[in-house]
Order: sequence, then C-alpha cells, then structure tokens
Amino acid sequence: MGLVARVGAWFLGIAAVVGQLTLFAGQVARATLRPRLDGLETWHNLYRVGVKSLPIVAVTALFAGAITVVQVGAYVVKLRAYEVVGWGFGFSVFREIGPLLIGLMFSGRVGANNTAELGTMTVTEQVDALRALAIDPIDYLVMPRVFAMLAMMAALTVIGDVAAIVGGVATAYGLIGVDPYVFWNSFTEYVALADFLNGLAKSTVFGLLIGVVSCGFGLNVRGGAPGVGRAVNASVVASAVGIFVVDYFLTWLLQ
Amino acid sequence: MLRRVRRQVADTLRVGAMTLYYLARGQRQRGAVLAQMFEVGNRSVVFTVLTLGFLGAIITLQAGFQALRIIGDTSLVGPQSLPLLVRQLGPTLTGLMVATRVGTGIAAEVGSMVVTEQVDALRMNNAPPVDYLIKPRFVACLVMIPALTVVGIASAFVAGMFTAQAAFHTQPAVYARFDVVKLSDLAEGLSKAVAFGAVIPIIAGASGLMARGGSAGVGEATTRAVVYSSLAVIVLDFVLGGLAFLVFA
Amino acid sequence: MIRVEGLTHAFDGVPALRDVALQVPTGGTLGLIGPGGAGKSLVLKALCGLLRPDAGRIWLDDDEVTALGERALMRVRAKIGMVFQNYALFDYLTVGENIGFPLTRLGDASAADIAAKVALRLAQVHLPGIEARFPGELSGGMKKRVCVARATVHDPPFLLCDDPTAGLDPVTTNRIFGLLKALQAEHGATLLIVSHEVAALAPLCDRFVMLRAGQVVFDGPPDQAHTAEDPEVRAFVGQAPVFAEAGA
Repeated sequence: MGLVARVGAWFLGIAAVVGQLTLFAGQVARATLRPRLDGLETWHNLYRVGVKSLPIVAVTALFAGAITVVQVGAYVVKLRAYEVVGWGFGFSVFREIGPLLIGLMFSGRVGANNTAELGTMTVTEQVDALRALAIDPIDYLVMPRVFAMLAMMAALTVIGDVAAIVGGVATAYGLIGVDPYVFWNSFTEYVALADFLNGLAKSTVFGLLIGVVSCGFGLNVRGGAPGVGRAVNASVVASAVGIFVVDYFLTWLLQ
Repeated sequence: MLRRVRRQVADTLRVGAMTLYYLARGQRQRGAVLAQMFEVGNRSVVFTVLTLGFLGAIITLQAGFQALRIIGDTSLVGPQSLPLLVRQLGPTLTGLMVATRVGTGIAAEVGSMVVTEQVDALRMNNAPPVDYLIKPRFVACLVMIPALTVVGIASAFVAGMFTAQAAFHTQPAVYARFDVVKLSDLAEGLSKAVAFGAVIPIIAGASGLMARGGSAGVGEATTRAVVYSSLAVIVLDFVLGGLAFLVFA
Repeated sequence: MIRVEGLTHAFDGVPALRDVALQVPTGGTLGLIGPGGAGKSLVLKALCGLLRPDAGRIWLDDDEVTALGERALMRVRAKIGMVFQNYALFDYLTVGENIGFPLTRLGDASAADIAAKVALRLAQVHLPGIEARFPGELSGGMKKRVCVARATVHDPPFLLCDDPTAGLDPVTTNRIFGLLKALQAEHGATLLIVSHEVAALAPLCDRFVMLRAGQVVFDGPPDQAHTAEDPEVRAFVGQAPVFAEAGA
C-alpha cells in the first residue's frame, strides 16, 4: 500500500469510529428525552463506580497536589515569594491539573472496566439476550452507567480537591518549609469559588464523555477475548483524546 | 483491596527482576525488539502529538488568561511554561498517554495469550514468557518512551506558540525562548521519561501475565495495567520531581 | 513411563484433585475420562510442571517433575508434546512458524531441516502446503491438526493431549485419533489422552482412568468400564441411563 492510501485508510478508520460513536451518542441523547432510568441499576452503578474509583482518585489527587507544589516551589524559592504558593497551587490544581488527572485516571479505572464489562457481555451474547427479552440495552445498560459516571466525576472532583489541598499543604511544609497557615491564607485569598466551579464543570463534562465513549466501545466489541482487550485499549485512547479536546474548548469558553 | 494491590506489587517486582535476569542471561530473538519498537513508537506517535498538542494549547490559554488578569501582559507565558513543560508536564502527560496506549496494548496482548493457553505453550517450548514476551517490550519502551516524550514536548510547544499568537497576539519570537531551559530541567525531564519507560512495560506485562479466565479476565488485566501504570507515573513524577527540587533548588 | 502418586491440589481451599494416582507404561496409551470439572486438565498441567500441586509426586521416566526447579523443568518439557484444549496456536506466527517453534527453541536445527520437518508433519496431518497461512484463517478441525503437528514435530517421547477432539464432528474426531496413534507408532511415544469421546477413544487405549470431583473412580481396561461397580462410570461409558441412577 502506498503512503497516500495508508493515510487515507487511517483517516477512514478514525472517521468510522467517530461516526459510530456519534450515532451512539445520538441514541443516548434520544434516550434522555424519554428518561426511563432503571432505579435499581442506577443505584447499583453509582455504588460500584464510586467504590471503584474513590481510592485511586483520592491517591491521584493527593499526588497531583504534591506535584504541583514541587513544580511551583522552584519559582517560589527563586523569587522568595512564599506567600503565593497557595495561589499558584490552587489555581492550577482546581482549574486544570485536578480535573485533567482525575479525568484520565477515572477513564483508566472506570471507563476501561466498563468497556471490558459491556464488551464481555456483548461477546458472550448477553446483550443479545437482553434484546430478545425486549429490554433496550441503551435504557438498561447504558443510561444508568453514563449517569453514574457523570454524577460520580462531579462528586469525586470535590473529594479530589480536598485531597489535593492535603497533599499540597503537606508538601509545601515538608519540602519548601512553608507554614500551613501561610499556605492556607494565600490559598483562600487568591483562589475564588469561580476556580473551583470551573474545574467542577470540566470534570462533569469529562464524566459524560467517558461514559458515552466507554459504553459505545463496549457494545461494539467483535471477536472474543482478544476483541475485548482491543476495545478496552481503543476506549481509553479515545477517552484521553476526547478529554484533551474538550478541555481545550472548555478552557476557552469558561475563561 | 489492599490484598490485590499487594499482589500486583509483588508480581510486578517479580516480573521486573526476571526481566533484568533475562536481559543478562536470556536467549536472543532476532528482530523482536525492533518489531516492538515499531509497535510502541509508531502506534503512539499520532496519539502523543494530538494529546500533547492540545495540552500545550491549554497551558498557554490558562497561563495567558491569568497573566492578562493580573499583570496585563502575556509576553512571559512562553518563557515561563517551557521549562515546566520540559521537566514536568511533557514527560508526565506523555507517560500517562503511553501508559494508556501501550500499557493497555501490552496487557491485552499478553493477557489473551495467557487465557488461550499460548503462554503455557511457550513454557512447554523453552520460551519463558518473561524472556520471550516481556523483555523485548521492556527494551523497546525504554528507548521509545523518551523518544515519544521529546516528540510530545515539541508538539505541545509548537501548539502553545500558535495558540499564543492566535489568542494573545504574542509573536513566536517572544514566545519561543529556549535559553530559559536549564540543564537541570532537561535532566529532570529525561530521568522521568526513562523511569516511565522502564516501569510501564513491566507493570503492563505483569498485569497481562496475571490474567485469569476468558474475556472477562483479559478486560480486567487491561484495566489493571492502565490504572497501576498511570499511578506509577504520577508517584514517580512526585518522587523524581521532589529529588530534583532538593538537588537543584 | 508416566507415574503419578498422591496428587492433591486445592484452589483457595476448594479441593480440585484428591490423591490421584495413575501409571502409563512406556509406549502405552491411557485415556483419562470424566465429566467436566473433574480435574483432568489439571493432571496434564501438573505433568508438565505448569501447575505446582499442593502434594503428590510425578515421574516422567527418571525425572521427578514435582521436585524440579523451573530451569530443570525446561529440559523435561522438551520431552513432552502437548496438544492444548484451546489450540494455543500463536496467532501472530504463521502455521509453519508455529509448527517449527519447538525446533527453533529447543535445539539448533538448521532452517532447512526445520522446514523439511514441518512439511513432513503437515503432510502427515493431511494439510500439506499451508505453512504460510495464519491460525486465524483455519477451521477448528484444521487448527487441532496443526496443534498435533506442533506437539509432535520434535518427536517427544511423551505425548499429552487435552481434549484433542472437543467440538469436532465424528469424522474429524476419528481422523485425529488415528493420527495420534500413527504418530505414536512411529516413535513408540507414551500417550495420555483426555477426552469425552469415550466410544471413539476406547479402541486406542490400553487403559481408562476416570476422574470425578478430583478423585479416581475407575482404573482398568476400557472394556471393564462397562461392568464397573460404580453406576456413574457405567453411565459415562454409555451402559446405563444417567438419570435413572441419579436418585440412587
């Protein structure tokens, strides 16, 4: 195959995936117009998504806070501007680093798991069995999952922000020698509610995106156990690209 | 849950030690490393350019809006963000992306070989799975992840430069100041990239080898690979960043 | 010869094998039968050292498999040909490379010798000239025959077959059993076959061992299984209706 043909085939492949996902997103959107959220399934999914992702998100956020302080620290020490640590930290963690890292980890933990689960159900014909019982897989499987991921991303961002503050304060004290009281003062003085809400809005959109993408890839699995592995791979890759693209536009919109 | 984490850590350490052993004592397979390097590098380069490019644009926007609000001048955005990109955001986000792309790939591949008894067949034929499957992937990642990091940083920088011009009318000459990057920034960035290159294939490979029971097992192994290797990237970022701070600052 | 004594294993406290003993003389053929989940595959895995049992001892000729380390096991495994239940063909290698794999990893045969041996085995399994194809392009029966070719390409003195005819039609089943017997006759290999196809298997075997819930419930010549005391053994070899005995 010539180079042009390969590039062309590659673009067609991507276009097919994007098209398939868009169609799927359309189905999900249509399903939200006549909401018939299966109550039990929704609670069940909220619980599972929360339990699965809480530890990893808390650990990630703790380290995200710590890492940010380490990086801000170089400037702070150089400029002897100890009183702005809290600001630099709060701004970057709440608006950008927090939602981004939490989103990527959430995609890896919950999104990948969700694709694997739905993919296994698909290759073992469980999804066909649902259809045979006149149960719409979108209503029964997809809607509760998408809703659970959206709601949990929002909740986890609040928890994550708290964990990040803990990590940040501890690192600022341990590594740079900034008194927690000074840190907290500069943090509360400069970091506004807007920064927090900005990050919260981003995370919620990421949750929606991860939900739709991971369900879409899961229900379109073909070809046994290797197919499930490939679908999980494709799902996390697509979610990561999606998170960055959406993040860019939200940063622009929510300035 | 703690028991599962402990098992993952124990298996990862064991696979890591065995990989080092086979690096010294194992059989050479001609072409295997090259094939894996192609796999790791070629299949991740577009993904890396795309995600890191957007990252560069996002940082520039965030820093620019903030600079406008506080000092009303965006000329420092480029010189301020490039060192940060080189020593932290570039390597870490590339690492996370590769953990996602390559880590899941390795775990899915090795995991399906486990559940379809192909790994047993290897062991029957004097091809220890760590020597035959993990070692070439380890060497390939060790070389290709730093290379991808360079590509990622470059694309983030270029995208940031264009964004600065489009959004804040900052001239490329003002944005692109390479003299702000110190040797210590390069050292920190490179050490992180190499560490990620060593750790991601081992964690993903160990996750794949731990796979049990059909397609559900493969999916679970793939999830474990991306979670634990991403987590390792973040923890290593903190540890190496902290060390660099103590050494250089 | 193959000798197993007191083989016992449990997974997370659930016993899977209980004091299993069996013996296959050199050049002999044993059929290991029993319902699904009885532990038949586990016995094969333990024989190759792929499973480390909790207790019990296994000998292949003079090598005590259960006492060997991983490195020494590699030498013993070179003497075993294994036909895996799920084919276990390497899906990234061609059929030719799959069959040649044991020769490339276990010895220092030249490429020409390997190619000749692969061609010979493919002809013997009635699939000549498909070296360049990939396993994914083959039907189930063809894959099984490629498996048999790979397991026997290095003329192993022990041939272990885990359900070599699962999911195959009766004609292909008989062809595979015939093939195994022919390859065994060529080198006098010791043969152990796990299977459900009791009727097709019986003419091949010197002896049947039946496992149930990890325990040996029958050990004797195939024709004696029809008159065994245990009703489930008789049912399994097709001499008594299973359901009538269930309540007894």
